Amino acid sequence: MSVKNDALAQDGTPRYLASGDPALANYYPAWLDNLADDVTIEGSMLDGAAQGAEAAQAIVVGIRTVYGDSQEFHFVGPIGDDGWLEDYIAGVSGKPIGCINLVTRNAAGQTQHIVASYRPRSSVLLFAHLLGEKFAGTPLAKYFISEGDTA
Amino acid sequence: MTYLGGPYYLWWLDNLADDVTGDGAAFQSPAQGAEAVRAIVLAARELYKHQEFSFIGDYDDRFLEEYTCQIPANQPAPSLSSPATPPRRLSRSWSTTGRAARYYSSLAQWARSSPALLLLKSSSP
Repeated sequence: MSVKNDALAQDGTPRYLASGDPALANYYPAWLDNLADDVTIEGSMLDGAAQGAEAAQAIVVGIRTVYGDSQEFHFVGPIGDDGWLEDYIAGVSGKPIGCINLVTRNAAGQTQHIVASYRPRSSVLLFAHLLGEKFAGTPLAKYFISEGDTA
Repeated sequence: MTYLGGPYYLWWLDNLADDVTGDGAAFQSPAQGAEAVRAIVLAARELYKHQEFSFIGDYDDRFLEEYTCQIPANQPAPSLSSPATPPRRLSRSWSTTGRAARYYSSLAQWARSSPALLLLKSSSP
């Protein structure tokens, strides 16, 4: 699924096909362990924003289940006074997906907002569909599947 | 197009590499080349209403923008703007699948007569 970083851009190769930084192979998103009670999570694959630590935790765990062991990070680091940025790739049912994830902390240092922007469009729609299936029958399903949506 | 209540200008749009690539949730594959990327960005901005930036900033050798906007229902396809045309209005929301699907549709409608079509629409949204 991935290609070497040095092959990028020369022929318009998408960055979501570029392999991750080996130095980040053991990166752990510590922000997951410090969610505010009223944290919000939103992204290209869902409508609206889910609120609450339990909902956010469930969605992130669901996302990582879909990824399996395919997640590779290109970059992680602080941005601004209270932000944390992650640039990574993963696989969704064999299709590549790229994500720019912006995590914002509150004054207490807790994770307050999680905003994930995914690409490309076919993987985004498939991703939403898979998460809709995963959360079917739960209150979270409504964020991922709307009437008339197709994968 | 505002940031913290003041006007904001997409400065990076004036300094695109010849082989720049553009990618995003509305793209099926990256656009490559300054002309293609500029045309798509300007077309996207024609779809936007009330674009407001909540964050802009550098990180490493990258530059991040976070913004919100509205994409009106039944938005007509944007015209192909000249790069010299000042920004008129903007909008986009990458964060919701329903709105993103409408955005794909509107951009693809615009792209129907341009080489950008394949980049934006490989199947019906």
